[in-house]
Amino acid sequence: MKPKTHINDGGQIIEREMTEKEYAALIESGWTETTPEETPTE
Amino acid sequence: MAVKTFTTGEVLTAADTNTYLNNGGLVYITGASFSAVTEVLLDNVFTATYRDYRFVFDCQSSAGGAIFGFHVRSGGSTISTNTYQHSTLFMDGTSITTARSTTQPAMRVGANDTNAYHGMTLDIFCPQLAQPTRVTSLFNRGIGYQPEMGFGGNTNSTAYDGMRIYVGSGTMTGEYVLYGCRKA
Repeated sequence: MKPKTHINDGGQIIEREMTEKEYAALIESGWTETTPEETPTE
Repeated sequence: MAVKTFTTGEVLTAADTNTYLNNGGLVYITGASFSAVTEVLLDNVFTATYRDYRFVFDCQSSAGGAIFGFHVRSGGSTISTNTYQHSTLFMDGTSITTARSTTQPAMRVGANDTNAYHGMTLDIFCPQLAQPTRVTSLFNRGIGYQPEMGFGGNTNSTAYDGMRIYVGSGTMTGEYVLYGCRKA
């Protein structure tokens, strides 16, 4: 499941799962799902 | 006029109530709670009504080892070009660490720890004016209550109508309130 985004547009609030495009941009920005030092390595 | 002294027997009018009782120095614009999100986006919140803003934010973060960042937004889009600067001051009780970074893709406003509770205040200056947006951040890092102060912003002389707070790893759950600084 993709992470969620919280959008407050002038008081209209939507909290939803990220779209594929938003998720791709998030990953591109360097976001990681877990603490970097706890990320399993091979 | 932000202050009025009422006298004994004076009639409290609806106009006075609306002006003086409902609007303090900080005027509520919007606020909400959020749960397990990576980012909080606020759009159409910076307007000509206010010049400067205060953003009060608290959260629990799920992961550690990454930063909390700030972006300005325009028309629903995040500005993530290398147009941010920040100087930070971090104290862990033993030492003080300082850093200054220019041409960054975001402004650092804090750092997260696994399952830590954080509190943050941002003062945001002139985001809706065609001049650089200045931001002062005070971040209380939940583990050890270590303070981090940040001074930075976006260097574009551009008007923006929104902002983004994000976490670099994991998610965050909490609440925020955005206030406008009443001018008179």
